[in-house]
Amino acid sequence: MFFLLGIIWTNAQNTYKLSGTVTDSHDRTALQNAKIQIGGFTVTSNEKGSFVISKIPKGSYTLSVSHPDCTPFREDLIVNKNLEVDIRLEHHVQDIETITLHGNHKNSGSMVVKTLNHAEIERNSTENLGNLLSKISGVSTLKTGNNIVKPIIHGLYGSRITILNNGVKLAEQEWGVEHAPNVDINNFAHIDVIKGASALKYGGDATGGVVVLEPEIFAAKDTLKGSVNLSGISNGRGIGLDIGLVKTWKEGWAIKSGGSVRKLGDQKTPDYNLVNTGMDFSSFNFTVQKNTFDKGISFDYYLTNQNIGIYRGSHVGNSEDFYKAINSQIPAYTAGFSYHIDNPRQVIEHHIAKLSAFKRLKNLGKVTATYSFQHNHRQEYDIRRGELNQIPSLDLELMTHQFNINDLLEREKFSLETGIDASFQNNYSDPATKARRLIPNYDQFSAGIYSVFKYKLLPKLNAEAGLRYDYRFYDVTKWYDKSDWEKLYSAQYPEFYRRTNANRILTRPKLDFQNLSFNAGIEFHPSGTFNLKINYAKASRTPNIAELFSDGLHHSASVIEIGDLGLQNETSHQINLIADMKFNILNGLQLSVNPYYSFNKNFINEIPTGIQNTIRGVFPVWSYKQINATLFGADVDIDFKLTDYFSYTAKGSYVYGQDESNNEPLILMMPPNFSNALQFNNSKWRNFYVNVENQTFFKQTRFPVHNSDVTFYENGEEVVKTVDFSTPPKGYSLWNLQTGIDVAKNFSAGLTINNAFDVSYRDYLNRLRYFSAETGQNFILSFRYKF
Amino acid sequence: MKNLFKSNNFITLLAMLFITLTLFSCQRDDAAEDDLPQEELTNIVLNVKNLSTQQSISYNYSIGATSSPIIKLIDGASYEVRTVFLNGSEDVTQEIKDAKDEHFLIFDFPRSQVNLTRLDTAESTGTNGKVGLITKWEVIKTVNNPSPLLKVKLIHEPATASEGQNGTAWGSVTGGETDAEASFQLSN
Repeated sequence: MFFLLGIIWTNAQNTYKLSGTVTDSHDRTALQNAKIQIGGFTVTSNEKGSFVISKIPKGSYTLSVSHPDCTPFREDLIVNKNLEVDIRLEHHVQDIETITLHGNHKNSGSMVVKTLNHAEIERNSTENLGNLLSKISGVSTLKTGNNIVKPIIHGLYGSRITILNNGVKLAEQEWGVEHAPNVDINNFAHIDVIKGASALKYGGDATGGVVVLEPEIFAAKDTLKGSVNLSGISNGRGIGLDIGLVKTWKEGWAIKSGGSVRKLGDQKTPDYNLVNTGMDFSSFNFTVQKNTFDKGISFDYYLTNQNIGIYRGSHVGNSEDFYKAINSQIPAYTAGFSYHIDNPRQVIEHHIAKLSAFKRLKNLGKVTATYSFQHNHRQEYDIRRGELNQIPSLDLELMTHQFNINDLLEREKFSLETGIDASFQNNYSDPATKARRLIPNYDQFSAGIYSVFKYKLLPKLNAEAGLRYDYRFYDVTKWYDKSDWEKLYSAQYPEFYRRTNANRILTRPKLDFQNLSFNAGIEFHPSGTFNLKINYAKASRTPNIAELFSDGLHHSASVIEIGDLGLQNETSHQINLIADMKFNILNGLQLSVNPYYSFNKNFINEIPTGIQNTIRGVFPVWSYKQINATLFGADVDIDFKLTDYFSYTAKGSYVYGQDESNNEPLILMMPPNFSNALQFNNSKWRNFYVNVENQTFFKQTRFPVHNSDVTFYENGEEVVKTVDFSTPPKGYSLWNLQTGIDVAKNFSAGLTINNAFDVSYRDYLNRLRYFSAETGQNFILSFRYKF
Repeated sequence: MKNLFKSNNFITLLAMLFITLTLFSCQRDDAAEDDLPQEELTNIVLNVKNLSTQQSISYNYSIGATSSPIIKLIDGASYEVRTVFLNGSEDVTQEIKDAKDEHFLIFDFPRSQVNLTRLDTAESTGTNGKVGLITKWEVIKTVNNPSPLLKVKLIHEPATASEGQNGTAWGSVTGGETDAEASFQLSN
């Protein structure tokens, strides 16, 4: 920011004086040791931020002001009189509220920076969000085959994780284990993963963490730039193309648009083809904005469209069918390669439209208002009889409006961020499916208010506290079987009853929930080589619609799922600690250790509660129950620069999860794992780099045993056999390689080889692990043209 | 545009957006329509005709029943059996015939000695072979072991199917899923 407080002296002199102050634009503190350069003159600002340059000859110059931790400032200046200036630089304050894996981009003295930056996103442009996030320690993936991947942070997933697409909380069917986020990673310049519940600004229910997807912030200058990326994927014989174009103007206007298309055919394991594992993906984005330092307005639109095939061999019937599928060495469904996507498959279309504006007010700080609209249409096609095969068995239309006003007030010693959230959501489950609704029709109203206060207690110690209150109201229309309603709810909730139709009962449950969440933390940074953050959070989550109202056979899991309309809020008490250390060994060693502990009351968990005999045979019944659960673990990151060209990085994670109420481990906990990588990087060789990585996952030895029994007849005798759903597969170790080079001035090429040695393995966190091995070797070759 | 940012107008704009939100009341007209599944099978009925006496008896199996029906099979006799599927009171066997390429029946007599041949006509013979809606049972010994029973299974979309005997079962598949299964007791 450049203010010209013109003090005009008409003067016969030919040399003039330039004086002024340099301050931080956010909190008006003086910036000492800012370097001010004009012509051949250089001075530094004093402890009050002031500076004077005398005897500048009349002429036209470029004034440069720079300071560590700040965006440098440059402006052309004509010196033909004495000038007094007030320069404000953008200084980045450390964030301790959240264990953000994104440090300060511009602060070279900062500790371990574990963010997924633009280079890393570009190198993995064909990946989905879940697989990309798993490159961060402590983040694992819950998969349903290779195309449907959800992130797990410290053992928690689904509704316990919030995904923010450019500030908009993604509203989709995140409650489902086989529902992946609808996101195109190519839209973003960096991705932050906030581990733990302390990011209260984004909601009280993200007890696992928040994934913050941030697009590029455009510089105010006249440019046109863009990028075209073409990739070929060997496993699946796939092709991907993504294009982006940005036009910016120096007045602060910017228009951005782009899209991507990806087509994949059947993928394969080292030994056989996976029938029906192809996928079509396309996305489009459009942004128009006008931003200056003081105010801005932005309109963004995002669209993603997916048609995802699900491995044919994973669609099984009752427990006996499951037993046969698990125990057959050779998969039943084998066929040659095909691009054709048949049932079972998922088709999802997701639109986001967002309007956001901000203004910096003198006494209130930065006020931002955001309105967003999302429309999600999910259709799941099952294997159905005859003509019904053409009709989806699940057809959900989800419409969500969200509104937020946020005020950020920053001063020298403190900052206060306050805001209000409001949202309305409607879900319509189309009965034209002629299949039982997995979740009922509902309206949902939510409102929240939050405040986060950060304070610089001492020069080396920051403290913060946050508070949040949330309210949620569900208005649901649901049909129950008469026997179920009378057995479970009619006594407790008679007011929800509407009418009876033969053996079915129509109900209109109206439920409301209130949550209070808070957090407190400190950041201790005694030197540039050590940084310690500790925070405690109490977060409270409202049960989601599936936990409350699931009712029926979940085909892709061969399980009957029963919700509980009486579930209460889930409360999580968490402590997160992160220590970042820097050592002066070789070219620099950075070590980051993040232990965490959480105690969860009324933790909603699905456990088997019996079996049900249906016309289709016997199925296990799993019900949503509330338990007490303890989770703890640690993530370690090492970043070791060995020489100017070689560096070593390592990551390791361990999670422990225990169901304290039933005294058994929690299901689907990430097994202990670590990865080691060695990278060679030489910017003088056209930015050539090579990264060799080994990932090792141990067998998960802590798991609950919940199996089903099946009766067979052998020699006339009844024989009971067990379907083992529970035992995790063996551990495994994979080698991956990534390399790239700038072929020409704007043109770069990259090669990724995943599972280089074509190892056959099964992943405990892949729900389809019973039916096939994971995909084998995969070569991804991409070419990027940037201008 | 500039006026947008004057404090008063800004706050008015925010208030307007907030109010429009509250006007939404969105349950659709057919939100209360029931979601009874249309492709359920509720009963499997076996119409068992004694080929000597030409007498036909119907045995109806359903999930809600308190006990499974007892089929009378005389040692040495032959029977023609027609399998019928019901959804409630509606006969939906035609749906199985319409989708004959997708279906296959397996008959398992674990404690009896019965020879089974499939008599399906083109109407119920598809890519998996003869579905098994019409079968001939040659009973050798009903009570080979105590408490004999018959397990009938309708398999949907198997990867492969074979009519031959597999252990005590007539017919076998790889892949596919059970659309319906029934258990009948047997006696002389």
